[in-house]
Amino acid sequence: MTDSSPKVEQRRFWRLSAIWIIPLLALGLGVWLIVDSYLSQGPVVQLTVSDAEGINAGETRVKRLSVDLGIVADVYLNPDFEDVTVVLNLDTGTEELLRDDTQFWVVKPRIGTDGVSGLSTLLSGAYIELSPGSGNPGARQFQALDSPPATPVTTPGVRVELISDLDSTINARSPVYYNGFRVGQVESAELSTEDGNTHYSLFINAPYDDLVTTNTRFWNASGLAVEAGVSGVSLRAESLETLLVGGIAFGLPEGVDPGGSIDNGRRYFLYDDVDAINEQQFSFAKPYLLLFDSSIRGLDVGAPVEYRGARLGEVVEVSFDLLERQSGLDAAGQTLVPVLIHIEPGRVFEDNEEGLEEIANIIEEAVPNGLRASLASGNLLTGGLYIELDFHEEVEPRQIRQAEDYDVLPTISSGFTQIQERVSSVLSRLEALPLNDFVSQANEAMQTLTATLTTAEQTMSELSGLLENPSTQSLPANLEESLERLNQVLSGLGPDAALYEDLTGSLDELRGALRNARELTNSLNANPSQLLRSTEVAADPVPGGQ
Amino acid sequence: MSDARRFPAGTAASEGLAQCRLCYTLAPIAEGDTCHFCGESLELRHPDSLQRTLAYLLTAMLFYIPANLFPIMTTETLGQEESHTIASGVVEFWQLGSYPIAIVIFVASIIIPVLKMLALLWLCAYVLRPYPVSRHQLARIYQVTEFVGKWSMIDIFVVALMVALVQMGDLIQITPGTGATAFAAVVIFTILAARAFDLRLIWDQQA
Repeated sequence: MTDSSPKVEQRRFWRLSAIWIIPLLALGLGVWLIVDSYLSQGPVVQLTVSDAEGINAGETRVKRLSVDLGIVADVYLNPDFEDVTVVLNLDTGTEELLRDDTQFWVVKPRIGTDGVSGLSTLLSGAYIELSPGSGNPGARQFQALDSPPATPVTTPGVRVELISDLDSTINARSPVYYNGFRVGQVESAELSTEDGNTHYSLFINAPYDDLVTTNTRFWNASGLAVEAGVSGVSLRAESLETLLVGGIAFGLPEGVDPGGSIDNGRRYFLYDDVDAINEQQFSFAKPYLLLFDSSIRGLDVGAPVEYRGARLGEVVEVSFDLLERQSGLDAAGQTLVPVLIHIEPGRVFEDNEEGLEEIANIIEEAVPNGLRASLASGNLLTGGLYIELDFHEEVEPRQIRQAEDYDVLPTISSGFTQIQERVSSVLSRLEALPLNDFVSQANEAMQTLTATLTTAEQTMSELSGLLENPSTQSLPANLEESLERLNQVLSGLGPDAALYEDLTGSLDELRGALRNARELTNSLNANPSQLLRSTEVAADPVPGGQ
Repeated sequence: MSDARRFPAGTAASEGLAQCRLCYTLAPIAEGDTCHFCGESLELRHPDSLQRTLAYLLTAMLFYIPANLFPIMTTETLGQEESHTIASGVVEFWQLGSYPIAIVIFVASIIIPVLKMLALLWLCAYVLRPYPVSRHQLARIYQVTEFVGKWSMIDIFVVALMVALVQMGDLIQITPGTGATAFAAVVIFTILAARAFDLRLIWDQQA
């Protein structure tokens, strides 16, 4: 008993028991759990979304190809209350997915022209889809897309930008065609507030991206093209789909080589239609300024400049800003309308410096000879105008003059304006006529005429009375009778009639008598004394005597 | 003598007797003595009782941290995963209006383990630094602690049942979390701590 108490005393506390291994193990386990949990905690991503519909902290998952990558840890409103920040706890190993062009979007049920998507989220709730990028890793701040990207970042292909000033039905997801094949799609369509143009982002999938080169032209293939020409009306549409959702096609203009390959983000202009891309593009152009004193209504930028129907260039700008106000006045102090045109030597000569010089020389020489620009009506229906260059006689001689930086080509009133002027001068002459006097005189004349006509009518009725008289009516019968008798008389005078023979005999006798009479007179002429004396025989005349 | 001070008069220990742990034979105790009946070593008090209790208690406390931080159970409904810790489960049941269940979970999973650990800690503290308090009350605390401690297992039991029963593929699926394991460890170690504590140590202290 006495020896047992020190044992109890000893064992009471101070000897360290092996049991302490257990809490140490537990501590080790706890530390390992915490470290493991810390290590297994992947990157934390701040995602800005415009609306947190369907996103719940601790519930909404982050997925890529339906594989869980993490979870939404927190959802809170940003300080400006305009959008929402969603904090994502991603799993380890997802660092490689987070690059500066990685895209996030919320997957919800969606119905579009390309079908229905995200139906499974009807039951399971929305989730956040991640599309890895290919840029620099390390990004942790992202802006969520409002809708799924048309093309994942890593899809092979080329992305180009189109700028368009056309009204159009082209939307995001509209197809892009090459020779009728769908090779890509429109990713986004945005109206720029800076230049008022529509900016499209297009993605051309590999391997068709090789078809897009520096000389490629894009045109609007939306809807239905209706063309009415001399050969009839033709309809053209790229595909049924483009009728509904619009579309873009691309290709090369006729006779143009493809050019070099391009990089992502190259900018192109969106042409109106396939015909527009075949309009040749010229590198060299000689600008001329035209100053018009008449209305240019109907003259659009891009309107052709023609010489007797052959195209030389186009209208580039119609603006009063082209000249200082003083330079744009005519002799009467009225402001003229400045129109800038480009004469493109490539249409006539070579599209180079020499061609430019050549055409400039020709125009400079032609102006003193009467070359003038005028407005001409290209289309009576639409009232579209174009610029006509032609030689005119009876114009006062002019030269190309300089106005500020521009060569000014002299203009004359257009044919249309000339017609207008003539019509108005005719009208003014008409106006000057003493129409009132004329009308009153005409009135008098008409009255006189009426009286005359009345008299004439009376005369006519008397005449008809006379004609109805029986004696008048028998007149032709008497006349016929007289003529009959005359005929008989005349037939009595014919060659077979006895009278004729008698007459012929008488005439023969008369002829003999006359011959004798002529002999008598001859001899009387030669010897007038014969009447008084007998006739002396004369000596025969000897020729060459005396 | 010191022994008389340590072991109150009228107890077997004061007479140099100890009870065998196995066969409950009262046998005289001496250094290195074994029970003359069954051969088990004899001891007046559980060896290292206080150390063991404190060690188990510390272990339970350490496990209590992950038990509350990690999800105890993960429910996957139609691809939508939802993890719950003990606290979030209580909050969710409370918000759903299931107040009795929330209270039961709260009491069984949060109140009881904490109270149990605090009670054991109190008892150990008393053994180390005795202060005037009714030993009878301390004994009562110990009894209640030991009795109520096993009820904490109700949480683990529920999780185990749910995991076993609710396995319906994509429709709904429940998997246990790390928290459940840690919580089970907490309960087990508090039970061990309670068992390791030799209540007789309280008697040894002079009030």
